[in-house]
Order: sequence, then C-alpha cells, then structure tokens
Amino acid sequence: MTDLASRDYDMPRQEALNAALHGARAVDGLHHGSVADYLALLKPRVMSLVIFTALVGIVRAPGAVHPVIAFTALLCIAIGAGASGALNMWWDADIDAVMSRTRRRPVPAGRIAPGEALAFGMTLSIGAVLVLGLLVNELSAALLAFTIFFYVVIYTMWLKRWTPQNIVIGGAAGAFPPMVGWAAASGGIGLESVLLFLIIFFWTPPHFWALALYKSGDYERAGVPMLPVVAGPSETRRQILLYTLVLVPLAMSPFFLGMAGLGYGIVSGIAGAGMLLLAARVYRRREGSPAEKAARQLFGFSIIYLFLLFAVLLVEAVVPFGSGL
Amino acid sequence: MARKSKGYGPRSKTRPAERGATPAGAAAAGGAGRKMAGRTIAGRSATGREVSGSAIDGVVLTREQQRRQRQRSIAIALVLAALCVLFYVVTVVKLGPAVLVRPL
Repeated sequence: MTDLASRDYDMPRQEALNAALHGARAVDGLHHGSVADYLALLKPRVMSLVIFTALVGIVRAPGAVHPVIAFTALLCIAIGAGASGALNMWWDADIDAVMSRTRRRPVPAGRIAPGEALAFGMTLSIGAVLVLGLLVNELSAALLAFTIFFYVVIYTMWLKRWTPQNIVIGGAAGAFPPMVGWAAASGGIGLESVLLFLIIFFWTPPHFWALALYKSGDYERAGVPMLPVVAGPSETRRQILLYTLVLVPLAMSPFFLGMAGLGYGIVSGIAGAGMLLLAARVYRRREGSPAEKAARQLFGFSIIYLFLLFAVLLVEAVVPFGSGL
Repeated sequence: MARKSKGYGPRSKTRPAERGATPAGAAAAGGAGRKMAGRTIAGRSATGREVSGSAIDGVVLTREQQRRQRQRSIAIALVLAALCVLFYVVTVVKLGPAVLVRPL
C-alpha cells in the first residue's frame, strides 16, 4: 500500500491545474462556457438530495409556514448548495482533472475558467444567504452561511487533502440542509432536526467509503487521502460496518422517540436490515470482483436507504393519516 | 481607449490576453486576432478560425462564443426577473391584507 499520509498534497495543485487546462480554448482569460456548463457547476444531483432533505426539514418543523416562504427557503438552500459545489469545483480542479469520475467537469475540461467558477460560486453564495436572511429569517441564513463555509473551507480546502477522516467531519456539511429547512420554517432548532442531521452525518461515511473502495485508484492518483488509500481496504470495511451499526438504530430513533409513526418504524427497520446486510457483505468479501460488487451494492443501496427514510418522514408529515401508519 | 488607460499599450510587456487567469488562456490568446492601441493584428481565433482585427477592436469572439454569451445574458436576465417577482410576492405575503391599507 502506498504511504500517502506522508505525501505533500498541495504542492502539485497549480501544475496539475495547468495541465488540466492545457489546450483549453481561451481568448481573453475567459472560457465562454455555456449555460449548461454553469448549471453543471452547481452539482445538480447533489443539489436534488439537498432540496429533498431540506424539504423534509421544512415540513417536519412545528408550526405553519406560508408556501411562498417555504419555496423561497428551499430555493435559497438549493442555490447555496449549488454555490458550494461551484466553489468546490474551483478549488478541486486539479484533482478533478486526474479522476475518471470528475475529469469531465466544466473546470478541468477547460469549458469554464477557475476564476469564473469562483466568481459564480461566491456570487450565488452571498446572494442565497442574503435573500434567505431578508425574506425568511436570520437563523436559517446564518446556518446556510455556516454550511457553505463548512463545505468549502473546512471540508474542501482543509480536510479533504489532509486527513482520511475528511468525509466523516466534512459530512456535517451535507447533514445541515434539513436543519436549515427546519430553522427556516420554525425559526428555531428542534431535537428532531438534530436527529435528521445525525442520520445524514452517520450515513455519509459508509456511503462514501463504499464508493472509495472501488475508486481508490482514482483517489490515490489524485493524492486524496481517502481511508482505503491511507489505512487500506480492510480497515475501511471495518469502519463501514461500525458506522452502519451506529447508523441503523439512530435512523430508527425518531420512531422510538415518538417523533415518527409506525410506517417510519417499519421502513427504517427493514431498510436498516438491508444496510446492515450489505455492510456485512462488504466486510466479508475482500477479494476480486465479488468485493467490488459488494461495495457497489452498498453504495447504491445507501442512496435508496436515505431516500426511503426521508420520503416516509415527508409522507407522514403531509398526508393526514401518514403518522398513523 | 479603456485599455490604454490601464497601461496596456503596444509597448506594454504583457498583453491583456496574456494576463488571463490561466496559462492556457495566454497561449490561446497569443494566436487570437485583435487590435490593440490602434495597432491591427490579424490572426487565428480561439477555435482556429482565421480572423482579421482590422474592423474590430479588442478580442474577437467566434460565432459559438457569441451564441453562448447571448445565452448567458438571457439566463441572467431571466434570473433577475425571477428575483423581482420573488421579492414582490414575498412582500405581499409578509404584509398580507395590510399591503392595501397602509397609509401612502
């Protein structure tokens, strides 16, 4: 195993970026990307998950919120998440360029200049926070600003290239949206919103480490100290199983604490059993294609798992008989 | 000429395009047709098309770049319009019926 922990991850940034942009068509320092390229900077797939979890936070929050205000909050949270994505792509263009999964992104592909991505991300970040503060409330705006800061500065600029615990701590950024939604709707932070935060927080490591298990070559080339690269696949499998063992009961806790109905209890129990089964399979299968298949299955199912949990919470909140199921 | 006031003359050591954010930008700009400070330079556009700077001042955009620029401008206009509508609607929602009974 390569000892990446001792490598200097920051040194080749500019050289790699220059190489990534070699041949890019620039006339005046600008790359004239299309509207679609700018939309791609917002990481639409990540944004859709953020919108969904924030929506659950909004509808689960106590009290009534006007639909227009709820829509405005959701829009600002989505734009804030997209802006974080754009700033992430600006900073990570060098490592994106050497990873197969990310090399076609607008900045490493040379369709948008790094400076353009930075300006785009900063403008949207400031705009989203300001509009949320002006039109909804200050607490949600402060939380959104902190989320963007956490994702861009704490995770992207600091943790990602420094420690294999990057996605554990950085996962907090992805866990904040339901809390922001909750704060937007209620003006406060409740226990349930903290639980929603914790569910996503503990879901993130098994999800990303499953991906990192079969993409470790990419991360190693890019010099990103993901757990499989630094500590090895065996330790990663153990950590995946441990985090899943914490995640599953935690995900069931809203039912046991009386915050969610029987339907949520059943779904979280069955889906949780699926997560445990797949995590155990990842732990057992360590060689060849069965090992990769197990990691891919866990990665895919983890997305469905989180979606199911939040979908049931959403249904229970908006359908009158939902919580009685 | 705006650029002249910034010191980008023909005697300037670095040309405007070479001050671009990326080395790729500078490399590509080296072949771009342009006219600076009254001096005409014919050359090749970013996409390799031959262009003449005789009639156009500054950087010459290709048709594709112009089309993308127009699309971006339209998108920005739509976003601004949507923001205006959003602020209007939220103002009405926040004020409620009182929006009509406020003293003018």
